[in-house]
Amino acid sequence: MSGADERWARADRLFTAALDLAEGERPAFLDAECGDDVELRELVDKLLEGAKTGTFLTPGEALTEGLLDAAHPGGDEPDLSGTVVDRYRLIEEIGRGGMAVVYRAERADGQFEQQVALKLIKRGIDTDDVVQRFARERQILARIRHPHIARLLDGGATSEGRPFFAMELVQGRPIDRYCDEQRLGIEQRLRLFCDVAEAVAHAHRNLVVHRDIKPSNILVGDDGEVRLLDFGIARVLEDDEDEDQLTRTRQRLLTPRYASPEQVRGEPVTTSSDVYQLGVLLYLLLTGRLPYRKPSKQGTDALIRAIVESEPTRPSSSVTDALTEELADGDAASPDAIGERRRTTPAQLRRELAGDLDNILLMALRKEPERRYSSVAQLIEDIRRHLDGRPVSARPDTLWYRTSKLVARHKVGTALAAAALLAVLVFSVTVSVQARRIAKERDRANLEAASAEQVAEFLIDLFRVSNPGEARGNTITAREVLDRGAERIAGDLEEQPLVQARMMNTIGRVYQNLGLYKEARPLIEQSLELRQNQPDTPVNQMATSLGNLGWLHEELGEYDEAEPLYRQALDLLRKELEPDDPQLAGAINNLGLLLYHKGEYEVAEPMLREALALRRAQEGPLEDELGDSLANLGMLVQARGDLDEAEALYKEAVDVYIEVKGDDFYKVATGYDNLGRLMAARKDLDASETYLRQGLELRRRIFGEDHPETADSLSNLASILFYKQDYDGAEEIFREVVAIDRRKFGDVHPDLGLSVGNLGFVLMKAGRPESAEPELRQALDIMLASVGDSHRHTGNAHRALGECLTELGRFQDAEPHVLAGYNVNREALGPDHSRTRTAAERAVILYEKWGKPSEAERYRPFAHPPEAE
Amino acid sequence: MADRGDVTQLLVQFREGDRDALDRLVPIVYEDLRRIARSHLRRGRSGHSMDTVGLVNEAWLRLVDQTRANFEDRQHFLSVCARAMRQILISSARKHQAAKRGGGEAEVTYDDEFVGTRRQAERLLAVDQALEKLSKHDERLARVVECRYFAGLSEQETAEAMGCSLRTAQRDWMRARAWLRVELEPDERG
Repeated sequence: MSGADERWARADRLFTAALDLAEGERPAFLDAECGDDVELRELVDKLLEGAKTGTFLTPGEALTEGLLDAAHPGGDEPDLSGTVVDRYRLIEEIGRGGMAVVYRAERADGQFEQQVALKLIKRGIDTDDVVQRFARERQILARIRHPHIARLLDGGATSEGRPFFAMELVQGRPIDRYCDEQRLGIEQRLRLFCDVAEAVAHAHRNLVVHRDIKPSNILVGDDGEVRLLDFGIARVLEDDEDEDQLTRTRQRLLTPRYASPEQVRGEPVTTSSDVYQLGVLLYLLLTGRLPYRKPSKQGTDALIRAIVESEPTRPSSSVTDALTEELADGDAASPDAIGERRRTTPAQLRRELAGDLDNILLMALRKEPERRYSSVAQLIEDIRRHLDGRPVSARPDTLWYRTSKLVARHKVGTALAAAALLAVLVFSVTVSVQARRIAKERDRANLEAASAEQVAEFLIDLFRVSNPGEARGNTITAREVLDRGAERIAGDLEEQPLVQARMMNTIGRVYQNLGLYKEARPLIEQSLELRQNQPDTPVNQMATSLGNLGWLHEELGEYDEAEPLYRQALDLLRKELEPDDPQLAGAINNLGLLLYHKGEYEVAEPMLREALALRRAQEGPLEDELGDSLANLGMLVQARGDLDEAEALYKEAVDVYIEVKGDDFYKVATGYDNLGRLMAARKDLDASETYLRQGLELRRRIFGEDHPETADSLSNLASILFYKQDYDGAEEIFREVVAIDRRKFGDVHPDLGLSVGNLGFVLMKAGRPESAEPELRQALDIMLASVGDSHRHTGNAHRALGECLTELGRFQDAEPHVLAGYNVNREALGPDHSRTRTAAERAVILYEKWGKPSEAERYRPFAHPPEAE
Repeated sequence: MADRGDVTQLLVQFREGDRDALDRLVPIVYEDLRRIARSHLRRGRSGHSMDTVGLVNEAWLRLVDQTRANFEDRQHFLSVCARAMRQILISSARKHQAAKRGGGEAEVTYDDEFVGTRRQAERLLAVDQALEKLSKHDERLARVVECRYFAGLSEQETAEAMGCSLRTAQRDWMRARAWLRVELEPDERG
């Protein structure tokens, strides 16, 4: 060991030993150990000083973007001046940054004299994707022609596979620097900003969102004209969702200082994001500062958190803050310097910003996209108003905003809830679909309907992820947000029990719409309880909670639990409300409909008639609820066997719907379905087909080809064609349904299983068991994969395949399926269910054909009694 | 991307006594680490340190077959990553310094993300040199700096990578910083 090494070791030993001592004991210890070795003592003292925490070498400090990007896997990033890239000769490098190097370039083939700026993207971005996306976007990008937008001229890949973009060459300085150097006043800055915003608005009209608006992308030439660069590039460079679950690294391009909350959260980016980024830009131009204060050395993470969670500093107060070095992010100009660059004083500047400009900026910078200016044009309009001295539209946020938003949301109810309807099997009657649809519509009358989507959106606002780091790159599902919301209602809204009850009710309803009854139930129950315990709960809210809980039970088939709840709700409303209150009619209708489902037609009918009468008597313009009442009563009288009255009611319902909402209202299609069903009951299959086709056409128009409602319509129509023994027609339609379901659900989904099964069933009935077999096998596989081996759907699939194989004379193959069909259905539905009996019948038929009469006899008692068929 | 099987295999070989296996691992994880780091950084901005939590963890999940690896392998993997991150950053810093950028600031700026990198590169190379000297006295101290400073591992992860207690890792980090500070800021008190 050399002398120096010994010395090091000695110093380290003393240093380490001293660390274990209290600070006060150290000098004495070191005095004794070092003696008169002053150098040693000095070194150890320095080490002890250095061991104190400070900013020296912070963890992870070495990892910075500029450095990592300064080189790439291929080695150095050389200056390519003089070389040819694609059709361009690079003249000189004019800029360089984290993502790209920019060259002044010209066409190598001499076709154009005009020079361009050629932006060469660094490696590490998937070139094929970029080039493909560029090809997709280029027509759109080429369409954008605007004096304030630098045109994107070309794009492609170099021979090494690096993406490049050629754009109009712009000489100039970044807008913030230009404004400061020219010492532009607030008004001049606002006018220059409006030019930028006009350019963005123009791009929006051409369906292009910029996504990366920041000063360095906005140059001002010597002529004082602004030019926006890089339009559309961000979108082209961004990755599509990475499908690798493990990585969750969706590549997002954003400049954190200017990124919008939704960009940071990885949510869809719309024009509203540009509104936000313009807000940041304007904030910077007017105040010389960025909207959020955070200690500069906390880094990107803290900034990102601020973007999502913190309120921006009010611009007018921002300009008089003397920022410490600690808080400055980038330029820490003093208030005096900021004022001076705007030819004014800090106090004067503050006055100029207070009021309108504060409001305008804060409105543009709102967290929730839908609460910002709805377009860039509106932002511009407000600035113009301010410049003209007219009142602006931006208003400060209020404390009560969230509560009022909550209430407002509930008014936007829609009966088109999220739950998709299951396609019906061909041999089941269509009533169940009809009943569910009407159950959903009833919702409008009484319950606070907000579609799952709207509520989920609301929850994203209200229950914002507390730690963006945790969510970054992950996709939060609506379900997670919902769960988070459900978890937090109890604590967060404790002080406002009525809001809490409303929220619980709403989230409960969303769960219910999603079929998550177990999650829905406690929320809806608690909501009711909360409201019961509040003396000031309005009666209609009480009734709503009762009705909701009733509806949940009804959906679960627990009619006996549902009935008293509906009755209580109705009693309350009868006592408190005027007899002509619509909510009362709704409650009567609900109870009537429940009783109809219970089969108690005699009790149900007067109620449905009363609801109808109340609605008929309603003053003012017609409401579509009147149509609902007509249709509901129609169902009941049809079930009772009075087909004539049913027909009249259904037809009137259709007339009402058309009168209220026009002939492309979705309930008109429901009305046609009712009539189609009625005609089928009358055995007038041609008329039935006509109505169903009308309904189908309407749904295609309203919902489009792939919507579940359209698929239901197709299924209903196919049922009729099947009864008409138009097997070719039915087959054709079922193939269509299968295609829709496959697009919609992928390859494993019970609805697809049903439609494939229906197709197979039709083929079999059409006397083509050979073609039916593969379809029915596929249906069985899908059911096994999606709902498992003990579900009734699986039972039905077994039974149908068994029947098909019986038909083909392959008795041995058929047997296990026929028996599985029977056993699964018996387990799932009980021995007396008609499906179970049909399955037993299939066993009887199999064994009879097979020549095993004693086996057949074993199953006969469980089949349909002869007279029932 | 490196083959998951290869990476895991080398870790297992090292565990079973093949002393060179870790050295062979460094070049294999090098590119992937760089890519992961870059994708993390793409959200960041120069001059700001990135959110490093999860960087090495992500590499662990992506590059190692979890069903075959055990706790000991994770420890080795972390330390290999730390070493590789140091190499990645130092080589970037060298290239950066070597690059000629004449002409001062360009009149046209298409990006504003370049500022500050030069100083950063100088700093990094200085730390690297000081670390080189320090490792001659105490190899462990150099490794703890690789973990904390270069790879941004948490204290807990550093302890894992070093195969020591949390307290020891904290203490070593404190010692290493003190020594580097003496080396890098010699006239601080003078």
